[in-house]
Amino acid sequence: MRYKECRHESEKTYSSLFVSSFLCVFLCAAALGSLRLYALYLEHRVSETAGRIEACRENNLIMSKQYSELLSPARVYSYAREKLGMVSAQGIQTIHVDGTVMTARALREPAEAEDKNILADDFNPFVKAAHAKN
Amino acid sequence: MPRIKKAEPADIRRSKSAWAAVYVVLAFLAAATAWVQLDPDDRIVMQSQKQYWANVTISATRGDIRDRNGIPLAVSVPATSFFIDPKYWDPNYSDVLRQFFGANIARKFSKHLPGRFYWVARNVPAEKALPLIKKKIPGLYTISEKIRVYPHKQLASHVLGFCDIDNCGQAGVEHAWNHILFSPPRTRFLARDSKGSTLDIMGGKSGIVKNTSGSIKLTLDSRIQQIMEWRLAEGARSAEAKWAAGICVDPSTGAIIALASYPSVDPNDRKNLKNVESLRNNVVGRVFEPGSIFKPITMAIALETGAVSKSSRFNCKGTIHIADKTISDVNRKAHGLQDLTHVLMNSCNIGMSIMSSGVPKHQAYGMLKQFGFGEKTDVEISGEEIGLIKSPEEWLGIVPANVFIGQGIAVTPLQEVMAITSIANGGSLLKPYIIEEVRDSNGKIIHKGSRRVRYQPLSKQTAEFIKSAMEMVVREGGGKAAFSKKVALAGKTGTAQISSGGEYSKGHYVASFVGFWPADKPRYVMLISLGEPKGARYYGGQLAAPLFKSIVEDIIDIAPGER
Repeated sequence: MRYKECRHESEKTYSSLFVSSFLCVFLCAAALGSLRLYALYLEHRVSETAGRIEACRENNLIMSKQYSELLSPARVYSYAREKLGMVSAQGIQTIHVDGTVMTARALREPAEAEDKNILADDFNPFVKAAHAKN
Repeated sequence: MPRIKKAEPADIRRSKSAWAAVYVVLAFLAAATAWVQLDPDDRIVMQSQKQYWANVTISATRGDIRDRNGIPLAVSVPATSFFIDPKYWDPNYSDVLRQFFGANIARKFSKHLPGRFYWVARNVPAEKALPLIKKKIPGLYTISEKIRVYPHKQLASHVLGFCDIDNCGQAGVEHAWNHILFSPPRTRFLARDSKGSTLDIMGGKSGIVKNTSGSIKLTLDSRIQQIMEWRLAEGARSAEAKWAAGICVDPSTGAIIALASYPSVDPNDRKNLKNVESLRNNVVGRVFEPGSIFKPITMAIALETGAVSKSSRFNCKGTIHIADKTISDVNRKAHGLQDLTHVLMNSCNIGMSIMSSGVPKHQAYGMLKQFGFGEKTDVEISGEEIGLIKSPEEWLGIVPANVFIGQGIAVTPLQEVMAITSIANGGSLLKPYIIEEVRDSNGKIIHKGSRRVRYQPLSKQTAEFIKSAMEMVVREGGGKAAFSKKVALAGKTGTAQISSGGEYSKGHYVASFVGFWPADKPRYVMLISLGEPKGARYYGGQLAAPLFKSIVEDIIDIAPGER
């Protein structure tokens, strides 16, 4: 009897509502905590990506500068003259050809030859325009 | 057992009141602490924020400037600026600064300084900055900035202009289009550690610096620009000219293809910017008396007003007296009876002076205005001059004759070349433009340069007549030095005297040549002027015409189809 009384006193009963509320609150707190941690992780990743974007942008700017230096007309001319030994074309003259002669010539020439010329011109951009009037 | 209540001693009562006092004090301190913590003084908040947080300015990238083929002419690249916070700076490290920035900087920071911020060096290139950053010197901090770089050095420096240390445009296109190219610097909040170094712990909140700058594409062709600059500098140096100007325009649209000014400057080195004379853009910022290159224009005016006809003849005796002054030809050479074409071919001052007498001065003045003289062309470059034309009321005595030979009137090379452009294109005075397109930060086109007719000063017939006369000038007249087998050129030489103190002094001339090619269907109009050449050769036909020819032939070499 005494034992029973003692048991009654030590084993305090909790209502199921209280237990479930406690669990809910605990789970919510845990969920919020993990969400916060995940948000921090994402923030860190965003920061890292932002840093990488900035680094890429800076790299891009440096490469853009190098690219424009390579395209510099002064560099291209000096390279052509000094390294490749290129010289200005001599003895170029303008010849005005009568339009009718040009038309007759164009009719005579087969279409394949024209295609061949176009193909050759595509390989050599420097003579492409030159053929147009000559 | 009876309980006997023990009497409390009096000192215990005293100790209770002492405890109560302690509690009160503690309660007050707790309340005060809570008050300080929850509602701190603004000054303390600012102080602590300064200590733990850094508001760092990050300069944004300035927009690119490219030529018509997309070659970058001005770009911004990352650079590092160094500053010192004296609170954390140890003057013993000043020797390290000497290795990187020289003795003056080292001396400045070899002692304790008041305050919290001192610049050490700005916009240091990455390759130079990196070794210093690696040393991790306490009190020496960095800021990431952008430096404006002109990869082609002098190329088109007068068109592009330059920027100040804070990346604001100060001249040329950089200045005129600063509102498009400049992106204001942004700030980022960074935490400070115990040594004062900044740490990016804010993560995504600090954000990426958004670039709001646009970009500009010019009408310039960097290859033709390079040719013109090389040849102009070469010609100016050999003639020992004080200044030189060159401009090439597309007569069908008014687009400026090349614009060169001598002396030129490399804007990458800021020391060069001290030389004010080399910063001046002679094409838009210098006015000069054009001399005989003005004759095609005044002859066109005479034809348009009906003062002369294409069959008119003029008798040249070498000199002519007008009012109380004498106008003479070169070496007082008499050209005899000559038609309009020969007046231009011989660059006959007498013929032009006689021609001027038949043109009503108000009409002549109005037509000069229609050719764009005495007003800005509104080209998109800063620093443009207006020029000077006397009002018709001042056209007394010798003045009209002087104006007809290109003296007594001040023009800019750009005004002159645009007036000749109107002859080349059949009579339309176009607005020159150098901006092909402007894009905003999203790449959307917000401005596009295009052909714009300002006036129609000439009829097509008059323009054709002057064109053929100018072609004859190069074939058989005074401009023979510009004759080229590669292309049919048309042009006019000019040798103008420079007035100083109201008098024309000997030995001070401007040698010029203006022309266009191909003569039948002009694709380019170009003006070359050499200012104050020294030596025996100073005529436009001797100095400017061969220079013009060499530039034309170089251009043909790179673009043979454009003959």
